[in-house]
Amino acid sequence: MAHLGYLLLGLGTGSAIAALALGVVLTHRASGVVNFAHAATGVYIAFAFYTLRNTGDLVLPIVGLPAEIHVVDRPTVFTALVVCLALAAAVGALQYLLIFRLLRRRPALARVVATLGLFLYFISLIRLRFGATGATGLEIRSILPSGVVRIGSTVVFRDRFILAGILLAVTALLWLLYRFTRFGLATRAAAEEEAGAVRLGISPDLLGVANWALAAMLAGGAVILVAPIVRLDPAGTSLLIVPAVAAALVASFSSFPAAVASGLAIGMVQSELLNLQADVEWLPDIGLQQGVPFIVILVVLGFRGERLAGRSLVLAQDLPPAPDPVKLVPVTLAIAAAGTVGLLTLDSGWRQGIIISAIVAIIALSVVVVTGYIGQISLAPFAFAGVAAFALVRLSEDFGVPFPIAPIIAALVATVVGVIAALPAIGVRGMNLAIATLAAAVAVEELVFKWTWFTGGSRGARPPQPELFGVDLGISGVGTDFPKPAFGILVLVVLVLCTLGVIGLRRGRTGLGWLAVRANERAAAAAGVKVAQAKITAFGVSGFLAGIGGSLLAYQRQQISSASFGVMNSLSLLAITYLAGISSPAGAMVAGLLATGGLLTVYLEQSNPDASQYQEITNAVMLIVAAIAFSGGLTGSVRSGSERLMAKLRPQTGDDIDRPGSGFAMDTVVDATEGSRASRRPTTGTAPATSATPETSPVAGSLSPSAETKR
Amino acid sequence: MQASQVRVLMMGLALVLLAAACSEPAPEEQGTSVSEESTDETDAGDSSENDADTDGTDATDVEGGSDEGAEDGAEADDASDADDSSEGDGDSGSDDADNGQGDTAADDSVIGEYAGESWFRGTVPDTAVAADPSLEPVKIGMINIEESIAGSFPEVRAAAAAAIEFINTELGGVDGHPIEFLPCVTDFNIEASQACAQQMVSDEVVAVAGGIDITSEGSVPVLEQNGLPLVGGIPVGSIEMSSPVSFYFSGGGPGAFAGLAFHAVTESNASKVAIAYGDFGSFTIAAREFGADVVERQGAEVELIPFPMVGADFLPVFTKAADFGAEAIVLGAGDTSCIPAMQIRKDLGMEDIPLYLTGACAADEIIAQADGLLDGVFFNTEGPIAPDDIEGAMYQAAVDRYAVEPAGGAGTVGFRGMMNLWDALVEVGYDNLSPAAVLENVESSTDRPSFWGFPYTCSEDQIPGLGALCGPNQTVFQIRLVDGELQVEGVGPIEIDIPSLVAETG
Repeated sequence: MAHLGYLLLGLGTGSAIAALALGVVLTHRASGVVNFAHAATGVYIAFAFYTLRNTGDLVLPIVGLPAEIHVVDRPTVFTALVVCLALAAAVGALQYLLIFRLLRRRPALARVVATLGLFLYFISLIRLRFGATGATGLEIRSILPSGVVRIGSTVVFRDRFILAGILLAVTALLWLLYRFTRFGLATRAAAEEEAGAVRLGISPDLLGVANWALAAMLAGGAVILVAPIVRLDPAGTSLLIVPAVAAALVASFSSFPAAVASGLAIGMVQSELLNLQADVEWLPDIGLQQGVPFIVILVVLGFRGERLAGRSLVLAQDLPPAPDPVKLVPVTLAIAAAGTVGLLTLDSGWRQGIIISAIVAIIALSVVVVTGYIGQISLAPFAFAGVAAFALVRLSEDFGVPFPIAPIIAALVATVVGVIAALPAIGVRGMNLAIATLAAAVAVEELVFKWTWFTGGSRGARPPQPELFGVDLGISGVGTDFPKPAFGILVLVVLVLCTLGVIGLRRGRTGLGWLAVRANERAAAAAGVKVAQAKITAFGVSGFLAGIGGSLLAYQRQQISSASFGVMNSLSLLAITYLAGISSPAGAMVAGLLATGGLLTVYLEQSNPDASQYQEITNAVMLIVAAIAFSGGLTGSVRSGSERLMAKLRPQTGDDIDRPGSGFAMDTVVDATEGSRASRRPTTGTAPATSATPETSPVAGSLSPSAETKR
Repeated sequence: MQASQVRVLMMGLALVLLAAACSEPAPEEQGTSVSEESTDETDAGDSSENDADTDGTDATDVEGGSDEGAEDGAEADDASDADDSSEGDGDSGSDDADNGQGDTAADDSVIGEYAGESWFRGTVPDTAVAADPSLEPVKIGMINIEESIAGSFPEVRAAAAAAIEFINTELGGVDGHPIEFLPCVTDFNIEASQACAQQMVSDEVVAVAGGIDITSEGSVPVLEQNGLPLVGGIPVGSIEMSSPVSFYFSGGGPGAFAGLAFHAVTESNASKVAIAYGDFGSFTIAAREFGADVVERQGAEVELIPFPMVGADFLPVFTKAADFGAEAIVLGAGDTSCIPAMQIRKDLGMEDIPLYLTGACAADEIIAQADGLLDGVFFNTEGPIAPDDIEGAMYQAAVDRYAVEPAGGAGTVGFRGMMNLWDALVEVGYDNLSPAAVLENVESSTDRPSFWGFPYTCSEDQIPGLGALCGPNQTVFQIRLVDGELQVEGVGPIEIDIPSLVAETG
């Protein structure tokens, strides 16, 4: 069978990816949002369509409303399509009105978190509405004409070609719509300069509603058509968003034709890899089909990174302030002391909660460094953690490296991976980097974590328990001895050291350089900051922290497998760290508390053992609400609130400008060449009574969280 | 509307939802339809990362007969119909006399209906005897995944609960002591599984009835350290298939793939076998290390065709098999793959090539949709196929009577596991009960009768390296459309001795 034949056979999967990529591009062009929930929205619409076809009932998407309404007995394909596409439009409009309209001027990260919440919402919704059987209870038949087409010796089904044809037609229509119609021009105008568009009488909200409605219709239509080919599964089909985003990235989130071409190409390459993997013996037995497309994307970014359009602009303006964390030193020590007392006095459930919270806090510190301090969105912390975890096992088992050298070396291995991951960051910014790191995380999961020697394959790996000078520091214990306090104290000590290390870096020359890069890369470079070096250093430190956390996770779990460090773990960690406060080590601590299995989980389980079936969907809603309502995270909100309170309680003086609690959103201006903090100036709120005089020419940069995001 | 007002509104909405959520009762029914004699299979695992596939298939009398299903190569073992023919019987004719101290149950009891019939403990007692609720209970735990994005299998827990109620109401408990069921629900989270295992320790259970725990790498180490036996259930990950405290009445994915592959070569006379599998987790091990190995040892050629769990089109898969010249195809994938795979096989005109599917594809919902697509397809099950399936009928009667939630599909595995565990508890005796005693009892089992399944042996590895798979034997059978109805016809059913087969391939 010719290789060309297998490429053609990939049209089915490729069409699925391409169809979803269209909607991702559309949403990004219209709103600057990379909608990770795009495929999940389509999956829900597809479930609704096939249920409507089977039963005549329309399943509604809002929890709290009736689960379904009877529309008509035995609707035709056309009727069901019309109804469900109208439903999709309504869903898209609601997504914009209730969520993304409110996030228009929020950090890109807030939008990422909101889309993750939406992703979880739809998956949970489908589970609730359609039960454990999911799609197996639905009759899913293709609505496209059947038949075969023979091209040489290759047999391809007609519906694949028809699907590809529909895709091309839709692409052409979209291209025409956005290039030549008033609606399309208005959308582009509003996207480029919203204020100007408003002055011209263009309503961004109306455009947003229309574009999101159209995107949701595209998602629903896409999954309805491809479900008979790629199957319909709540989580599985929703994860097609990953290659779809990859295809959209190759198209710079702007070109419909390029997105479709990339999506089709990914599917075709996967099909050809299926052919090659079966025939070519030297090809490794790892997730090539899933992983290689992402390697290609990373390469594309590496070559085109600087020329890729970055929708979100100056990310630094979108992040919450990164205040001097010096006051966290006593707080950290106090937390560690309290944790130690807890480990020695509380029952096993609470001890486990303390340990898990502490470990996740360490990994969350890696997010604080790379995203909070230097403004790079990385969606791969758990990939780094996993690399270290498996390296730990290999070092211990195969090379006899003892504790604590083994976890340190393992963390250094993760550091190397982190530095490698930094290379695309040099030329790529904002959401593009986020996608690149997501692609890297997927590639690591498919290509590295399935490498049998390194990870033990599906059998997993067991790290030896840590021991130091004959003292067993491992977690294992019989009965209520588990988890052993000694392991917990070890984790707390590591947490303290890591936190102090991060605080020290933040307050030193390295951290100031990071903040300068975060504020404005070009200005930082002009001031003498080596931007590339700063980024690489940040990624390296981040990788090391994640690696330390990964090693501790391996000790804590006692058995690890490739499934232990999946992409979803990274996304979840990013989300909770954002919610907690991504620009401060305090946020990392709170993220640890919020993590699954951490102290909050223990508290909830003990206070409400009969968890409701709606818990998961409620969590998703809370995530969205928090993304909208807490721009600085929980710690930022607490800090802002206490600052306002302090300001009200204390009479205003000129010194207030330099003191936290003044109520201003302060930004730190750094003269990196002088190595000192040159000046501070408030960027929002009331004009200061006095202003500090810079000792040297400041590096300008605004870190006001209320500054509008330029589009 | 001001931004602050929006925030207040959103927070209020969220709080309302939270309050509603916390007060929402659990659903009375969800998911799997329970058909009278079929086991539905739970599918865990179409997605690359997280899902697990469990399978329980249903066999023999496809149109309505009682059976259980085969297992899905990767993750679920659900099984089969069993003939009550276990050999090993004999000394259990007076089960209730040995166990019960409570009152005799009503005449319309399950025991009363099948009194005197042969079953895994010899002969079904003449009368039902209830356990004495005033006596100290025997605590049995379970770790089961529910309400997660990777899947939800409450039917396993529900069926085990029904079995316990059956045991307490009609079989006298354990020496008159009732069994207290202490399940812990995990939600596809390693930490949650670990916490559940620790819960088992804290609750001082004597054994853990097996459920489905996709993240068992969290729970199994804790169970091992505490010497708590994990008995029954559906093996998903390799750790539980090889743990010294795990005991499954199943062959898991390895048994399924080995059996199907062997049948393809020896019964379908295939000299070239294509093995297509979802490239995830234990699917990979089962396909590569057992399925492919068996084919090659039988002197045939094999082509391994991995495909992504997410978004895979089966057209290239089947085309590749055709290019290879496959004379039989073994397919291991989740239940959502069944219809698309069979449809493509038909559309490509490959219906003359025998297709072997792991048990997930014999679920009621799939059978209902598949119509003629299932004609000629081969399945596996982990019990003998017999027309007088007493234990299957008893299972159904007990579930109908005692289950408070849907308990079909993979629930058959939960029910069987609990019945076998009860057998072990009774043999140990209440006065000697301890986790170590139960573990030793089950571990020493040799050719021991299993409720509604093949006899099991835990005293030595049935599958090398996977010592927890105590009951790996398979029955492979073909389904044919006869007069518009699906029946077990055609080639087979053939019972396959997996341990000897795998030992040869070793």
